[in-house]
Amino acid sequence: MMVKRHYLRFVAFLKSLDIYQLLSLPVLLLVIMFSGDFRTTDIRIGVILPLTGAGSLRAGSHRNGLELALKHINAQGGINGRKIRLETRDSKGSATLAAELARDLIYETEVVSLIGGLSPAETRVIQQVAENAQVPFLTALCTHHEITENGSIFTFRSITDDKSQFEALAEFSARRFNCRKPALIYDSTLYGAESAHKYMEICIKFGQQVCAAVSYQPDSLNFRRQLQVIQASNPDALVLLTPADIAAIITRQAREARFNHPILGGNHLSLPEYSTVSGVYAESVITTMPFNPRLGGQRADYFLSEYYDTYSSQADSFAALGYEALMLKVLALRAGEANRLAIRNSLAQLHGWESVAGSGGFDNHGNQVRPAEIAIIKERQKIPVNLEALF
Amino acid sequence: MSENPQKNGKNNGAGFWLLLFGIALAFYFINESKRSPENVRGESISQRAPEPPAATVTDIAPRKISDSNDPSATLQIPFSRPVKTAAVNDLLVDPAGTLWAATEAGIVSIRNDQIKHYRLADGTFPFPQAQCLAHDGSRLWAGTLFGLCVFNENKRFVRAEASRGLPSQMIWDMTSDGKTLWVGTQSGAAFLGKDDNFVVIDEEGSNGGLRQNWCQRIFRVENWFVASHDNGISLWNTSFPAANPEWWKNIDHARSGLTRPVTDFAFDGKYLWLSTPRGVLHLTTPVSRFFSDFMPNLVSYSRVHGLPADRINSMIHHRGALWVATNEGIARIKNEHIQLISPESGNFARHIRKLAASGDLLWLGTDNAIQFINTAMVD
Repeated sequence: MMVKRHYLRFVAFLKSLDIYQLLSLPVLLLVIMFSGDFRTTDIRIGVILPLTGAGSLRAGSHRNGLELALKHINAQGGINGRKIRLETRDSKGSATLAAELARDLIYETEVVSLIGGLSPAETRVIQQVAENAQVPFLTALCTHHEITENGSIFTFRSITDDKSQFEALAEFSARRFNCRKPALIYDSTLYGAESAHKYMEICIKFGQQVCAAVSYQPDSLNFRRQLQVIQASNPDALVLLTPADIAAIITRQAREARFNHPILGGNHLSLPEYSTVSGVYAESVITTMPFNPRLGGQRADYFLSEYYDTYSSQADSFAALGYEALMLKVLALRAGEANRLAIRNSLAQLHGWESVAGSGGFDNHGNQVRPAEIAIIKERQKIPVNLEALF
Repeated sequence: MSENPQKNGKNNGAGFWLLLFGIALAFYFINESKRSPENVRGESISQRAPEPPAATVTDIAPRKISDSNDPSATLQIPFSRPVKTAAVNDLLVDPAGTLWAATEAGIVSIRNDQIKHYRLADGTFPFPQAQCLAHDGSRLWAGTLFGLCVFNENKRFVRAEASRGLPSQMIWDMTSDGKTLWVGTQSGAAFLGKDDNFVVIDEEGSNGGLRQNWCQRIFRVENWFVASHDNGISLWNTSFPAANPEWWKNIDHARSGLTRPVTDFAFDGKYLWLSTPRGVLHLTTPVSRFFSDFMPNLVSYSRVHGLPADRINSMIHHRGALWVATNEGIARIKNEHIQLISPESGNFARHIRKLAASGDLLWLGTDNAIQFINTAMVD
């Protein structure tokens, strides 16, 4: 009876309204909705990757890893009941476009944080826009040492950088092969020259002196001249600071020219295209590997199986690092508020974590402290050196 | 009887409109209170109450707890009370003595204790942020990451017509030699010609003289135009055509050990100084001899020499000394001697992003405020 009485009163109230008053009810509803600022329900994280053009395969895997992490986080209820939304943009490998995308994500989409960058030029420009606007930026693909050595405050890196890779290679080659006179081949771009300079600086710490450092012009396919210069200096190892496809060609030509000393290189030699192009010549090449599933334990096993179920392909290191990157953002979001400064401060306090890629942490510059892992290529497989005896 | 429903209807209608107005008003104020920044237009520096201690989320926490300097090595002088703003990107004192600040929330001006904000929200600034400022003797220009603005006679910033002639709307820096406006953008540099059209200087047009297009910082010294970019520094002798690479000098990051990015330039009347994330660099070739025997020799001053931090955000040559702003405070380099400056009492933001000077005053733009010190007190 009570309910019926209230219902009748409400109907009477509605009947007493004229047509204009009735039409204004939806307007009232809209006013309430927009005043509540429903747009902020989701936590927006911007992602800038070269999804087309050079590096698109790596960026695509990385995005898959990020999206798998997103699926897992949101399935668990998100962060304090708020879902996470990735605002993914394609930089097409252009630093200029990456700058504009970073600007638009920060000031127009109003993301709370940024992830991305692959090439140093692209990463630096995203970093500059993010630092300027005080937005936390995490790169999980760019390894150029300078990214976290430039006094930045809002930048973090979860992949092991070039410096750590070079230290691991120099240390391993000195210990394992008693290498004292490595030779370098590097590409003549700025990144190549900077990498060669850094390697020469680092290897001295391990009792090594670079006996020859030779560059080549882009689009070169014949490296006989460089190899002749190198062999004339009688090195006891060859370090390749080049893209994977060029490294594969140099490896073939070096082995064909009877260069029998160890060949070493950073993360790029662990890419599938290196093993594919160099074929049997890749045998016994020493590389660093950015992702070793054994270090991630059950987390890595779960990630690998979920990735396969979702994408029907094996997860590579870029996917794993993407998964780890978003999980780090979630750790930071769980530790504090969902605003830019709070996320930055939480990330700065992340000195240790366990993830699919194993233990990690940020140092005082926001750089990954996880040491680079050395692997040997055997039958096109990368075998971590600590497990080498098993194979 | 027939009047009653109408009367009741009117009463209901009035109540309804009152309810609607009340709800809309309540939501408006709730929403505005969420959005409104702390700043109040027209507030006075001297009348402003001391800021309460900031909450954790508004401070940039150090990456390590031990990031502090020995206070005994510093000279303590009074600092003005901070005027709270968004992060400051640039400072400029115009010919009339007004301080202008380009911030992450628009423009702030300070004149005779009166503070005025120009923001997107109130229609006085067309973009969400401002990056840099320049005064060409007649007009005040504001560069943003969205385009170029000019201060008009209606005391508002409006998008400049000339902005369309820039190689990119992402403006990183501007400078003026008193007559001509120079702009550094994401895709090259440009200067404003007499017909109010920009003349573009880029990698292609200079035939490689300008080694890279992303002009992060630009500077004018004597007849040289200096640009820092992702490959290093390019210097152009403006007495000759930019298209001839022979009139350009370059210092590459890789070969000179110059750390990216070059954050600022200063000129002491003879030498060019560069600020970087690894300290201050002094280019040992005098500017007057750039053309004849340019040698990219750089002498550095960094934390190991006594600067408060390695990362230098800005610097300015003022009253015979080089003033250096870092993430850990300010310092002065005079006669190869470094002196740290800290406030006598109270707090100040350590992350100083920009410096500007006018008379004895040195203005500091930090990540959340504007302050000044009286440099006459240092000596």
